[in-house]
Amino acid sequence: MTSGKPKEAPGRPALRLVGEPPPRGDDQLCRDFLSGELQAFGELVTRHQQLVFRLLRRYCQRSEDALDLAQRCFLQAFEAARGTLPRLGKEGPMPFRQWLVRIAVNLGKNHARAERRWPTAPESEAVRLAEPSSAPEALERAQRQALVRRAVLALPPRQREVFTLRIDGGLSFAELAEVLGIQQANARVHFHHAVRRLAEVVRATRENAP
Amino acid sequence: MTCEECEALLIDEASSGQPQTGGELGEHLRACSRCRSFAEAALEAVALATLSPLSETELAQLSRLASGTLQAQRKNQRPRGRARRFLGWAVAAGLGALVASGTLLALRRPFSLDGLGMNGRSPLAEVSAEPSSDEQWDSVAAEVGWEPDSFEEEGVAP
Repeated sequence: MTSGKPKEAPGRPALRLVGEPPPRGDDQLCRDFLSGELQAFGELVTRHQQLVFRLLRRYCQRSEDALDLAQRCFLQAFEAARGTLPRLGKEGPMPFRQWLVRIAVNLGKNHARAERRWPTAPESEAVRLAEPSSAPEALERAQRQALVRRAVLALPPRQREVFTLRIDGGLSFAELAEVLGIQQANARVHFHHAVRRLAEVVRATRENAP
Repeated sequence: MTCEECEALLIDEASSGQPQTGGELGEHLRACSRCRSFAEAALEAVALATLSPLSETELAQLSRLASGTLQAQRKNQRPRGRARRFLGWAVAAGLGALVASGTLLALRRPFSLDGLGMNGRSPLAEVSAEPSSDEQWDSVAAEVGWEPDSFEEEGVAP
């Protein structure tokens, strides 16, 4: 009964054979790419692409949009690294993962704002999933799912960020607090408020159900 | 366990992916209908809000992300390199034209100090060209028929 990471947490250590050199950190990969090593670029993208994509999917109607945004996210993070590298020097820490998460959240929000409406992808997905059975329960669940997912996007900004980073990104409270520049306890409080609000939505749908 | 503690634990569990409501929490939930109702709603809310795992199509799209991003990166870099080279050439050409035109002008026109108000003569030359006071006096004396030397001898000599 702990508040550990969700089971699909990214960055899980991979199996490493004896004698194999330790994997390079994000810092080193980023520096190597900026000094011209293309393989480092691919390694960095592959390492973080699922996290970025999962965060962006929340804000996009189509997976193609999320993919485009993911590409922009990586490009912007590399630009940020290129701009910051001279100031950091050879040894300074380069929080590449934090930049990615921050940029992904901002890109997602901007995309949704540009669309002038919150996306309905989760809703359409839910309805599509419900179609084969066409049972009233499945349809009802799909509707509730759509409602709750809209409610997620309608949460106050900080609550929404904390909730999506935790649920979609699988970030621990310590990690998401660092990304957002807030205290860990504060992040936890925002998450609790978010869940409480969503629980109220679920209760309301139950009460209104025929 | 209080209801507040129960609620906090429930929310932590809800975010862990596979919530477990055993032990002390389970005991409290069995005893407290209010917390049980909240637990059902909170766990369902998180479950409904969680997006489905990535589909095969999405995973296939993601596998091409690295190469696509690298291509986009190169495309972004190319115009910038071109613009930088063009700017370098333009500056070099401008400087060359400036030097060449200056050299041509200097070769075409003879050296002159007109611009300095000296009419091509040095200030020393100008001073020496002016008649001295003695010369002036000699010419005046010649005009009036005086003997320049006699005057000098009379008036000035000790």
